[in-house]
Amino acid sequence: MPPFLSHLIQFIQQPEVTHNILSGLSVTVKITALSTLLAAFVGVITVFIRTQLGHISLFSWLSRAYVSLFRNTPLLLHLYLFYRGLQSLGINLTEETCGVLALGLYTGAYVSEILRSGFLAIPRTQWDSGQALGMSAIQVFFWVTLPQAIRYCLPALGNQSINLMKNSSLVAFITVEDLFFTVYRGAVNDFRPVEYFIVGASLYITLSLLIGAIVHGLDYCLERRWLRFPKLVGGI
Amino acid sequence: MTSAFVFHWPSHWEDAWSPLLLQGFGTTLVMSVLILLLSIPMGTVLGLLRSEKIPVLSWLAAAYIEVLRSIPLILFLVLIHYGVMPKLTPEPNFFISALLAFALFETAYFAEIVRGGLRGIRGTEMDAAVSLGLTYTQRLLLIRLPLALSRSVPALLGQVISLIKDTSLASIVGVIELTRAGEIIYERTYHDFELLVVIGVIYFSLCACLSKLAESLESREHQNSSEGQKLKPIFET
Repeated sequence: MPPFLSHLIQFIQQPEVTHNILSGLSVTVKITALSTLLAAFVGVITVFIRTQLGHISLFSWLSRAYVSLFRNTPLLLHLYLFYRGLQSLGINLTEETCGVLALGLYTGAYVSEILRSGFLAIPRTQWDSGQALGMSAIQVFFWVTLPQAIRYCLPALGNQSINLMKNSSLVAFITVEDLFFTVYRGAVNDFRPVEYFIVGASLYITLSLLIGAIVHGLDYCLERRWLRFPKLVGGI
Repeated sequence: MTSAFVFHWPSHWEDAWSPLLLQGFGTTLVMSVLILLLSIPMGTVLGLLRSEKIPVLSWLAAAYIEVLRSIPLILFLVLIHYGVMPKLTPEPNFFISALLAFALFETAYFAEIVRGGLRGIRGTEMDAAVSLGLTYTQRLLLIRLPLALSRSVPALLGQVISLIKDTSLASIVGVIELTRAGEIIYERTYHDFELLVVIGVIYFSLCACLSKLAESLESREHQNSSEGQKLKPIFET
């Protein structure tokens, strides 16, 4: 065994190091999960507005403004805006809530953009046949077109979820004690940057492999029709 | 604290446009350009290595790309600055280490884009190149790579936008770019909301232009490719 590896193993066997890093890891997982849900919700709502209510100019303008505002400014700025801007408005939220809100809204813009490209790939006939069956616009959206769009862009959505997990390290800037925060604090306090950062990096790599595996498994199940989801017309 | 929410534009204006903020913007621009100059050639080489199936080199390239693409940029930044640079030089410079970390990190992303571009080129172009008697190296350097690069321009622009946004993280190692300059002014004046808006507008105007450009290039590309498909049957018959 190379000396550096045994040194690293010795390093993670220290109980206080393990404890700190694991508590940071749990915060990262929690924030990632919550903001993924928020991003999915916001993304679906936005894409609903963009595809169904596009003829109402106010709605379409608002949703386009939301998407381009969040896509063209740094996430750090949104975090600061939610953290300090809301405070100066008199709204007091915990740091974690601010982090989840900023991350969720930031990623929601990307999700809506991805879903919209998925909607563009769905043939017009799907929409027409849904209407011919007597479904309302909302029913067609949620039961016919949206599942196909999600199915179509599942890999891109998975990538976005991994990006969200990586971006969640920025909540350390607003003093949320996530994985990056604990690793950074440990590195500064114990003055052992290499060990801490390598352990942190390997945990992040593990998390992104895990998310990738989940998305892959979901894709596999959908392809085998183990989960009930409409099959794509004409295939991908 | 509710009364604190008043826009203090007039008294704040000169602060917001103080030289510090402009300098920060300059640093952001200079950093972005230098990183691009470093990482696009490296990314092209790495993407080629990964897509060309050379035994050991492509595995190494793939490992490099996959590892860097699955760790957060900020962690890589502090790893380079606090972990690696002190071992290389006695006097680590924060600007150099930020530049190095960003360039190495973006290389992985550009390599993936170039690989995607190379994968999209097959069929008639390659047949034409083979029938002209070009060797493998000639085909690669004269046909495939230029085509791949020109087709991946929209994706490259998208990555440039996220690079510009990501340079705001360089503040953690002490680089005073646009966001950090705003922070410093905030610490002096405590008018953060206006500052954040001003900084946001600066970032937005830069990135929105680039994304409009990427969008128009992409739609033109789309038109070209659909025209190509329409022409196809004429060539085949």
